[in-house]
Amino acid sequence: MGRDRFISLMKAGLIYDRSKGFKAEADSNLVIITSILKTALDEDFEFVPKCFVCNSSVECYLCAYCHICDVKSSTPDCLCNKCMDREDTFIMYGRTLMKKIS
Amino acid sequence: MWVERYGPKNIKDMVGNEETRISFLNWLKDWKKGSKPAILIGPPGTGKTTLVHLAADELGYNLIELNASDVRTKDKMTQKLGPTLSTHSLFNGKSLIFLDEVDGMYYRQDRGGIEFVQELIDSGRVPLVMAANIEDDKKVIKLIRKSKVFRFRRVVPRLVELYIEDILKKDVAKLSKESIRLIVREAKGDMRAAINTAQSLAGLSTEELSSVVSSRNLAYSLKESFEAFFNADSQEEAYKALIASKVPPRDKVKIAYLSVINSGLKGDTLIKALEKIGEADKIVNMIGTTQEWRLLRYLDRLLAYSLFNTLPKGSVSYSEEDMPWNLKVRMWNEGKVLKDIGGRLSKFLHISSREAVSIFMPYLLVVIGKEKKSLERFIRLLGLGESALKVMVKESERVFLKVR
Ligand SMILES: Nc1ncnc2c1ncn2[C@@H]1O[C@H](COP(=O)(O)OP(=O)(O)OP(=O)(O)O)[C@@H](O)[C@H]1O
Ligand SMILES: [Mg+2]
Repeated sequence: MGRDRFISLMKAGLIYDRSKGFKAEADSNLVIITSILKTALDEDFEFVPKCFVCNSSVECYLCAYCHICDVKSSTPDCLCNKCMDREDTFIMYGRTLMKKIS
Repeated sequence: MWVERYGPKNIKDMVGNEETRISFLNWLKDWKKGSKPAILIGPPGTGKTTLVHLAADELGYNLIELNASDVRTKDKMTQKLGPTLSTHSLFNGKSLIFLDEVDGMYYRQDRGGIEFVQELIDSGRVPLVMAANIEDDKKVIKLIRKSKVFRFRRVVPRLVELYIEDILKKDVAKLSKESIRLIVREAKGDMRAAINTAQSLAGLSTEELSSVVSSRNLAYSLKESFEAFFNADSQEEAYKALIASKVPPRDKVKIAYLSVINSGLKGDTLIKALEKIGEADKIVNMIGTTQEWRLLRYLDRLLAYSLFNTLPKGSVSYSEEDMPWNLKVRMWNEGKVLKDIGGRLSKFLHISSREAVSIFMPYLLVVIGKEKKSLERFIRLLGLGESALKVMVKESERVFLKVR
């Protein structure tokens, strides 16, 4: 990938963890990151949102909103199909946040 | 309105921007004297203002807030914030200063406002939180450099849906899956827009709903929005009613104008209301020439905070009926003449011209009596002419109608 690109990626807020790979956070500039990676890898790729409740990857292609969802300008966490279908999703979602606060 | 009634009451009840919410709460928890200020940046309706309020509640802070509608001259700010900054108040519990909408229009016309904020930042004696929509404004960039930044993004569709579904569970309203999808799609990650649309769809009959859903004609109509505006109980509610409709600002000013002139408001109240609408109109034009379109969002604030306060509750209702132009011109002229008369009277009575018209004039007219001759003499005494006399005769008729 090259040193310069790597530095630009870090500057745009991408975080590198040896064991887990790259991670984008809330204040990462996803627009810049995308454009750097696209030229570096020379192929299209997508950001995969995580489910806030169970931490699994969200299957965007199964989502009713996949055509209008602008992943790059939205918040990085979403809900997966399984969690979305529960009866108590809203409560679980709030609870997960409380756990992370304390 | 639903945005108030069903807005989040706790940080955990908000949706989206999870990491930002957590880190902001931690920032406030860990705040020490001398800590940098915080600035929350992101698109409308994502919960910036809400988060600051809820976090302050949760941690027992007394919130002192200034937003785009507050005039931010150094004097005014010292007046409002001064007591908090004096050592004395340190004994009266902890305070948090919140400068909302720092990219707002009044902020740029500040006299000394920015310096005051600068002093606040440098003093670091109380937590200072700011919020803004954009970050490419020069002044905002300056503030960002000195602050800890908390970035907000649009809320993802599934979480918008989750929140709307939750509101619908609490309320009597039922909406089809199709309508909910439409709400979520049109909101584009703006929770305020989503909740407002849900409310207006919930008020429709099944037939209306299906025609709206098929034509996708969403958001509050001007009528809904202004009806809620004129009947609001507070400025804040009035503001929320106005921003709920997404029509060009010029149309809002026009409807405000038509509703007011068709309302039968009288004398000083009418003048004041027309003055405020005139100011709003000027600003729309000014923004048109400078092309600073983003400032338009503060027009709603201006109308809500200045016009709303001049109107007695329930005195105006929505009207889009245009008057014949000659009548309009007449009302406009009468307003000007009354102001003139007030101005002259004020010099005699040593009071403001507004008080002269609204408080003293009716009594004066009773004392002067119905005789046109006495009115003529009075007008001459004030050094005014024929047009003033005509208006006075009319005012006099009104007063005697009431006296009887
Ligand atoms: N994250 C959220 N979760 C649930 N409801 C929300 C959220 N954000 C906003 N709302 C709803 O929208 C209303 C307006 O939100 P708020 O005033 O906090 O937005 P904001 O980000 O400050 O917008 P602006 O940039 O226009 O000032 C709230 O009263 C609430 O009802
Ligand atoms: Mg706000």
